[in-house]
Amino acid sequence: MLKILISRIAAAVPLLAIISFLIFSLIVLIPGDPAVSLAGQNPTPAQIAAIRDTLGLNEPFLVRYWHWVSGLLQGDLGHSLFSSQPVWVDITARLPTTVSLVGLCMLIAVVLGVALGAVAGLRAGSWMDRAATVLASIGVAVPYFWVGMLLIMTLSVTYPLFPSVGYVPLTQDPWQWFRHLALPAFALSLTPSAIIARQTRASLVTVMSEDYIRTARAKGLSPVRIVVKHALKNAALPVITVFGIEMSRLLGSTVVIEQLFSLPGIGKLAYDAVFNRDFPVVQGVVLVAAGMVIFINILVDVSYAYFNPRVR
Amino acid sequence: MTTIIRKSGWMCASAAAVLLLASIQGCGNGNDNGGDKVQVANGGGSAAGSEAAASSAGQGKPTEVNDPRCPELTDGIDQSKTFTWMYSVGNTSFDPDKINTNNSQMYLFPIYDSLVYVDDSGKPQPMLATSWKLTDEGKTLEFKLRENWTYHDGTPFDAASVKANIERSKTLPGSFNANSLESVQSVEVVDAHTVRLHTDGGAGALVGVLGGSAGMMMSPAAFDKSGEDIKPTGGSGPYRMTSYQPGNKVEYTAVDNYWDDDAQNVAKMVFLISGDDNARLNAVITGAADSTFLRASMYEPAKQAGLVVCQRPSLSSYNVKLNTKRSEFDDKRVRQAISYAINRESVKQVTDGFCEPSRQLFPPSYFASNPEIDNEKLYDPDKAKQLLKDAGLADGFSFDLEVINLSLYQQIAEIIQYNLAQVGIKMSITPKSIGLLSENFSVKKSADAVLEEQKASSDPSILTSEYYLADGFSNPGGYTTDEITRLNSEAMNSADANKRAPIYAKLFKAVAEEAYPNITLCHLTTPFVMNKTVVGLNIHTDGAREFRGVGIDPGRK
Repeated sequence: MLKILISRIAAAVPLLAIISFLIFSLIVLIPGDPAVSLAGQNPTPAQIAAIRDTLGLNEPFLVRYWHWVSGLLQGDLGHSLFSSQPVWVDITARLPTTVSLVGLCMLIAVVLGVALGAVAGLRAGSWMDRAATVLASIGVAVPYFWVGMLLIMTLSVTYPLFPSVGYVPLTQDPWQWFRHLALPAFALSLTPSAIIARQTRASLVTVMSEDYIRTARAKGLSPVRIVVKHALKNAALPVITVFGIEMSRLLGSTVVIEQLFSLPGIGKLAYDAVFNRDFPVVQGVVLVAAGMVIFINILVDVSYAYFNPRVR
Repeated sequence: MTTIIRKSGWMCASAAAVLLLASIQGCGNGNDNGGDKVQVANGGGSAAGSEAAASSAGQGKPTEVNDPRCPELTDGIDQSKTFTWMYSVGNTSFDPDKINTNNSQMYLFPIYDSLVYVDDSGKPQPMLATSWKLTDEGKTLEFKLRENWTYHDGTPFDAASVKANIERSKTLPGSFNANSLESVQSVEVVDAHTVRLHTDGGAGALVGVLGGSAGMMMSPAAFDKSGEDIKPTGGSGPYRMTSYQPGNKVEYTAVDNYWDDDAQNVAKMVFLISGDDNARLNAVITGAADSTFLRASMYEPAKQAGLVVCQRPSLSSYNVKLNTKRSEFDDKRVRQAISYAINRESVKQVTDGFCEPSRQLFPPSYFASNPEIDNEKLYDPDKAKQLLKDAGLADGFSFDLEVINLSLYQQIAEIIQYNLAQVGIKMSITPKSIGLLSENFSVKKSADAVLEEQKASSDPSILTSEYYLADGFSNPGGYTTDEITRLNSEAMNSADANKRAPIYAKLFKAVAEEAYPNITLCHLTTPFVMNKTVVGLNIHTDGAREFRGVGIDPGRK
């Protein structure tokens, strides 16, 4: 397993290098000159030119890229053009919110998805199966931001049970932390819940028809033991894959949901940074997000090895 | 299958990174709050009216806009209460010289008093300077300073500290206020409570300028203190910042023994930040915030929720800016024709009524305007056709208008396009991101014309210089006349609004006669929404989000 871990981490290094180049290239496509934005009121062309010079915007693309990468290798993501704060400080201040949101969302998704999928898979063809399938279809089809708005209108505005904006850190007040994240996490979790439910159902239907399940039944094992110990563990592999992919997708979705619920996460940071043409922050956020996606994929790969001895 | 899924997982890593970037870039094209933040080149003051109309225009019938004032201060205010305001964008620094956007000033007003207070009607009033006078033929401005006041860190407020502040604002690399104070040649300490600003002319205009971030007084002991831009200690105003979550929340707590009791009616102020219109309105409905600004589309939902809505005409306006070095715009008759061809009432319709038609830079209610100009007929297509014929362009001509890629701006552009087509002018529309608009028009000077929202500013001379002087940022063609240049200087040589008013009246008459290359369409109004307990909130005509003296009266629930 350690060998797998090392090989995956080794493979991640060139991947990160490629991604860093892509991020730096794409950022050039964001229209607008940050020097004009930073120049203040009624600037003269000379002042704008001086700011461009200070920011190094007149240097060739590859030189700028090299400066950025050199900083990265020393753990320096640069400074925000607007707040002058180190990008790393901005990101670490916002990361707990996004990690909390995505974590709670995936917890809901796994609990809901596996439960729904298990019910459907173990009673394939029954009305429960059909109902679960319909629910899963709705979960995939309904846009999460629309669900978010609906939740705000009903559970925040009409019946004020949950706050519609803001965030309280877990360390400060766990109950308030949960109240502030409950609606956005639930809204975001619908699609991954549905996909996990479908995957769990499909896997369980396959696994339950395997010979070893029939043998287990013949041995007289209890149905609960058969499902939990034998069937679900073997059905978990495709579910874990879905889990990894959904986690990656969710990181992108936070850009919208954090804006909708006014959560101070890295999605909102990225959103604000784009409007400010605050390139170092945008680059930093996207790089960190990419790093997290790679990290999640490494975890997924390692968990394959745990669940499936053939991978080791 | 496992292998395929694993591979796709790895591919997903890079794809997700690219998608995240693409998604936020996509979002970038649809947001107008960025406009508030990046159009810093358009003058001082914060975004006054973009909020009023910048979303979902054209939906339903237009709202009738009048001028209901916000509830006045009552005897029932509870000074232990907290006032919570919610805005769309955060600040960039708590150091008045290190901010990058006009909106950031809002977050500094509670912390720093300025020399001059620009009141809600746009007129300068005493603050840390108790009086001022112009001498030396308008070249020197002398301030008498408030006595017995100290900065939050205990440093005495005196003439030496004022001199240090102004010199820092002028010389700090990248200072936001350097341009505004360009005319200041030297600062003289006359005595402990008297300071003179020597300029190369036009010192009168400095009075208004010193009502914004350029006049905010910060303890000299805090100038070079590390972390001052995120945790300010050297304030001079009624509140000190006591908690800050960047991009999310700022909390201010009242300082003891503040010199102006009337300015400190709540124990705490909290500024929340959310770029989502509905999130802000919902926050006020649910009580998470006491007040926010409204866009036109939020007006009816706010009223239906039983909230208090009040509004005021602002100095912000929509303008078509023409580059006189391009197309046929160097001909005064062509510019006049365009102005007469546009039906400003139609523009008002698409903004849901939140924009009052006008053809001058400032609304007639502002002291620096000429009320007579808007008495003329604004829409006259026949006159436009005649003017084009006189200019030898009976068959019309063509040009391109660059607009912000937001639906409202494009709808306004389409109205203009239709109106101009009726008089024979072919206008194409090119949507651009907000950041590119100023760049193409003012810096590269490559655009024929742009449609932009002109933000308000604390002194009229900031915008008149920008539009009407040869080197003005919004005058890429460099079009000017001797008379306009002279009147602009003359207006800047007085510090008295009553004396400046007739000069500006003459200036705008000359501007109208010359048909200057900025064609004002209408002036935006600024609607605020609040719960019933909020009293004493003043909407500033110059767009400053400034809550001096706001109170909470729990009995009004």
